[in-house]
Amino acid sequence: MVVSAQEKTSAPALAMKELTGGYSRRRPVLHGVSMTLHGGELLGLIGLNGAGKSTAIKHILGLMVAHSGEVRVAGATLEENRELYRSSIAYVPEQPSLFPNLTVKEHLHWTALAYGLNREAAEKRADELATTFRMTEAMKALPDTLSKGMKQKVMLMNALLVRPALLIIDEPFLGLDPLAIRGLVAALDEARDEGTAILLSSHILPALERKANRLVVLHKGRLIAEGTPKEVKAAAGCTGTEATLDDAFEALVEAAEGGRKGE
Amino acid sequence: MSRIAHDEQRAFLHSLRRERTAAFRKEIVPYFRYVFQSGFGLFASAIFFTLLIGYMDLIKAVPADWPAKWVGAVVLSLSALRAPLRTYFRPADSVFLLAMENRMLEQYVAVALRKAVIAGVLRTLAVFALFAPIYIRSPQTAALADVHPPIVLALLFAALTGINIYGGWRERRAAARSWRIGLKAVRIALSAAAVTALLLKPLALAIPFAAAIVAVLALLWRLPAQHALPWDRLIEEEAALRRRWMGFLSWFVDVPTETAKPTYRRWIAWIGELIPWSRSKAWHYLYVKVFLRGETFGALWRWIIVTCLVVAVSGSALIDALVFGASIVVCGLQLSELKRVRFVETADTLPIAPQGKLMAAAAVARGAGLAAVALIGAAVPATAGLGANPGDAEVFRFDYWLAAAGFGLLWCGWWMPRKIARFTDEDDL
Repeated sequence: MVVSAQEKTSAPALAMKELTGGYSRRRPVLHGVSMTLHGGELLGLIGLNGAGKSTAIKHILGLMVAHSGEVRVAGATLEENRELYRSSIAYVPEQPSLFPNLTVKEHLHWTALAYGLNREAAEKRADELATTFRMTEAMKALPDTLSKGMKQKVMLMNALLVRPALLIIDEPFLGLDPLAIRGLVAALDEARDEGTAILLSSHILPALERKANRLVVLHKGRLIAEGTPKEVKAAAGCTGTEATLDDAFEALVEAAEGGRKGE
Repeated sequence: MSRIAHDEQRAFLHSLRRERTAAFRKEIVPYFRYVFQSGFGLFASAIFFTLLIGYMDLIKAVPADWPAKWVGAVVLSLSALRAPLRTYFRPADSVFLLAMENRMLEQYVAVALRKAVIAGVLRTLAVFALFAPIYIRSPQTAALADVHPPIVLALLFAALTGINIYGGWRERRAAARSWRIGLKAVRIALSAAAVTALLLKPLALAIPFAAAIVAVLALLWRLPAQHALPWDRLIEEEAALRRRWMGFLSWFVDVPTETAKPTYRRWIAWIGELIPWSRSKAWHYLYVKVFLRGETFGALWRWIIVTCLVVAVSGSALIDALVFGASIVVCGLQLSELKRVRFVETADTLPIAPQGKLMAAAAVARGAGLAAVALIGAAVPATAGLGANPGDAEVFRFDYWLAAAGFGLLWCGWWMPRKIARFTDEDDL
């Protein structure tokens, strides 16, 4: 059973509540982080390197076990309903992670099988995505013959093929050519219009400022700001018309550093 | 650069190669204990002594119809043509050692090349030493041996081996893959012709012929665009060699898995498309593709071909059945590799139960194993009599064949898949 974006559920696509986690219980990376994401929303996840963004994503994916708190996807925790949880998520990691023995087309084939998609619909969608990402000629290629950007496109195509309830993308713009970035942005808009909730982690703040409905700012594993881009800028004291999200982020980090030093 | 810096670099590169050679041995050698414990040592020893006895019998009285000319040409060509080069290069070398490229050529690669030449020459001399008694005593070649002094032939074959190893290095340096393949094909064909001529034709003709071949090869090596040091090629070769070692050892003991570079194999990979479109078959689809494009399949189908050839030339029903059975055991061991296949992390985030992996691996191994039984099983009756001498009575025995095929069906159709499907620890998921 695949929970697609089109299926109406009252529960948020993602509900993270007071999550504390990381590899070591003695030195947790995340400290009581909460966030909620509804269908049709794009939530931008921002933070410096080592802020805990990837750890948060791994917890959402169920690849790490929380020390306390919980993560619900489509209303269920992983323990309550593994099937529902897993089939509600599609994930694109920062580093392309492909099967070396499968061609691009076979990756899409396998993803469609794994999510139990209808064959005709999946093949039609795969063709559309190949056109969008200009990968038509590379469909029969094995990953070792593709550039890093092309590998990233394959990851994105796989995730977008599924039309999941929750789409998690880690640094999607790295390595992509300008036309692919444009194609990705259009595909994300389309997915959002179809009701997919998107969690997008990126350092490209101008893009997030334009596209995200809401932002979550992490610093040293703690949530230091949350809200619409406008609200986050206001929280940082950047209210002028010239103020950018970059300015706001810098101010927030400085404030958090100052606060930490003062503690 | 100052003289001291040069000396330091030289010392560093010498010690680097030594350390890497020692590290490789240190990593590999301990596993051999398990290889021998598994019974492989006994099996290999049995084969060695059987061959030795056969060889001793042969050189006592070489039969008049024994094809000494062609066996000699093939065996000596195979030895003289081999051009391996152990550099122990690692992926990061092209980043960190690139600045020392010239020094690498002089102090590192040159040493590797010298060692490869020494090993190759010793190998060819050993092969020639084994063949020389046959050459001298065989009715087919005795007359040739009278006018081909063994010491002269040994020196010529040694020189040809050294030239081939150097040729292998020049091929590796060619920038274009097509040139590398073309040069290798030409070297193999011409060198085999030179070996054959030296062995079978008067030396007064054969030596100028071989010299002309070497001159042609030397000219050809100058033609393609070349890298001074083919970093990527050598790194790839080292990785492949390492994988082969680990692949061999993994038949007997758990070793660190190496990610093999896949081979496209359009001619067979289409079989994956026959898997029914069903979520319950998702792992099957993945395993079929991984298997058919991986090294396990490469080793398996080469093994099946070799087995079929041995069966074709054996000329004995008993040997056919024994080879059939032994070969199927090896096929099963190779297929058990599927249990050790590991996938990228994203596979764990997909909505299919990881518990299905082992069942799918077992099913794919069962299918491949039964196909191997069918192919070898068909080769036995189909080639019966091909290698038999006139008067040999039993070229095919149905009861022997049935016993071997029955064993194969049990081994590859039941026992080995059952072993693969058995969950032992979390690493299996």
